[in-house]
Amino acid sequence: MTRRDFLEKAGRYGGASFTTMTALGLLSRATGRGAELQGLPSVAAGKPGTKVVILGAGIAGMAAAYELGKLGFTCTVLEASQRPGGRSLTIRKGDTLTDTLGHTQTCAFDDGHYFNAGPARFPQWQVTMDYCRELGVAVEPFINVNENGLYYNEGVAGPLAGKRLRQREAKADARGHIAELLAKAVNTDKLDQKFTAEDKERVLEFLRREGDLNADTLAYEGSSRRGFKKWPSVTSTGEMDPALDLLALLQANFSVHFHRNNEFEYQSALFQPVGGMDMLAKALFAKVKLVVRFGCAAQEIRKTPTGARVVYTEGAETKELIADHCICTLPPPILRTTAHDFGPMVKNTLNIIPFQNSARIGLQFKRRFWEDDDRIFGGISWTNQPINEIYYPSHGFFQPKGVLIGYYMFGPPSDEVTQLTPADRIEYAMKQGEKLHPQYRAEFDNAFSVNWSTVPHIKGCLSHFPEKLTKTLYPFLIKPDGNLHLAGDWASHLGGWQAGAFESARHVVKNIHAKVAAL
Amino acid sequence: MRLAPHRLPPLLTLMLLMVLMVLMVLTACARADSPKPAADIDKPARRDAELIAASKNPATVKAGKATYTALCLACHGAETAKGDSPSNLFDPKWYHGGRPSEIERTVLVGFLEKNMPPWGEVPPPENPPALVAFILSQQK
Repeated sequence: MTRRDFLEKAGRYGGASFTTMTALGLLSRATGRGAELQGLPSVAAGKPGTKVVILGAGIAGMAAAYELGKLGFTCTVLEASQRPGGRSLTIRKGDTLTDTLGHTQTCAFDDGHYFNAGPARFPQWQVTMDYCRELGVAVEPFINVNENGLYYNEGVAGPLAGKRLRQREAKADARGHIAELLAKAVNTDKLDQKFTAEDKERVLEFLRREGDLNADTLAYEGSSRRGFKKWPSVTSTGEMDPALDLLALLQANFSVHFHRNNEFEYQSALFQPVGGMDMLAKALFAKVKLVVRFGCAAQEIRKTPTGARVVYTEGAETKELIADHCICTLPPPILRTTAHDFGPMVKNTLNIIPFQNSARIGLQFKRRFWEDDDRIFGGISWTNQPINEIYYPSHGFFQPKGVLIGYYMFGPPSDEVTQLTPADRIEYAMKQGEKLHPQYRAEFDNAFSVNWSTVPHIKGCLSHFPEKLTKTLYPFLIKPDGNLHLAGDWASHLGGWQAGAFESARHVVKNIHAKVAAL
Repeated sequence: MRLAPHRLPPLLTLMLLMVLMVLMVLTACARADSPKPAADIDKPARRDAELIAASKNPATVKAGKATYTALCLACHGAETAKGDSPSNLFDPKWYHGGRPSEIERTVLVGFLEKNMPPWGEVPPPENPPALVAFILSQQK
């Protein structure tokens, strides 16, 4: 490449240095955690076997079209709805949604505010991060843990029922008390295992740090980790509330929330695209928009002796598309009620995918009281009420208004709100949410709710393939059935994550490329 | 409205009496738990009794809970499930038939249009009854 070429190409790709360097091949492209596509040779133009029809313009469908496009394949993406992204749905002012029960909502958030109805975050290890880099999507930290966030459990035993606690108070006290118990057992040789004096001291040293114990007595006497009633300043060293009782903490059952953020999917650091989760879907769409056709709903997915045939409707017309391969990313609830030629075991497997409902509501408030009054800047509060969790926005701090997620529910509670009118869903969120934040009613502005089982063309939220069936049925999802292929987060071990859709798409692209290369 | 039997023609009265007697005999048969029941009517009743008996066997319930946790929990929630919806299996309200045999049928045949899979062909054959036994054992 000449210097002149470099400058021209750099200019064409604009100033964003990552994008420019990626486009020039100076930075490695997304590599994923399974199907390596880097270095695969492009197929010759017009070579047999290189025409691919893709059903669905969500992350999986668009990622497949994008990666196949890079390798010289000719793709057509048929999308039943009128927008790209699928479940990567960000709701902003003016957006409307009519669910399958006939409820229509129009979003009345203020400009600049949004609510992610679907995916809302990703951990740093996922391939989603690589695609944001490759596609020039700016990211910012997603605050998944906030020790100033609340715990509120009601109907439980003990004195903490119906009390608001800061997460750090429950965590520091529970860990302190348990470390004390263990330290005393170790110290008095009450454990099965016999330690040497040296080992015993090492274990005790670990427990002193783990629980912030008194170095001499090994007692837990409270800790600054639990925060202060009066915070340290120039004139005060700070005043603490007394530690909570261990049994009271266990009765209140807060510990079910302690380890959420230790799980590998939720460990820090997590990120979100700046401006809404659909920014990634939009960036991907910009790469493949010439091959995406909206309003095209698949009716039949057929095998042919040499490839695949898709019958679809576009408006009132029924049409047909013949290709060498078909990648089907329709969510299982749609796919299992569509006529198809997938084999009987694939069909069985599709039938048992537990594609769950989930429900979320975005609540816009006139004032960011969770920041102003409660000093909770981002993060999540947890409750044993059906609303389950309240997400505070990780962006837009100090703005006059804010949108938080007022519930995120699965199972029976999500099915219950799905049957409610949008107005009743607001009341549902209010009645429970005000127990954590009494400011709710006075500050409420407007809301928008999404129940995934009633979103047209999707009809569900996510599934985690049953572990018990991983060896027997799961393989049918990820193996080509003739020239028919399945892709989606639900056909991966990363159900519900955009990364699952990316990885699954890459897996299918690699299978198709290998098949064509062998021709 | 009161019936006025003395106004009915004698033949009609006789026919009514015969119908009444047949009905009484049939009801008596069903109540007596006859060993030779009319198959279509009493098969579900027998199945109900078998499943209720299974729900009192701790080993069966334990096996059923394992299946529930592996395959059902994600959409139906834990035994502490809250919310009035068809997916709540632990409240007293049933949307698709609450007899034990009806619950078993729903597990086996499913409602695909409502995202309930037909589990009949997937888990080992002893699991659906154990699963139903577990669900019955947790009814509040």
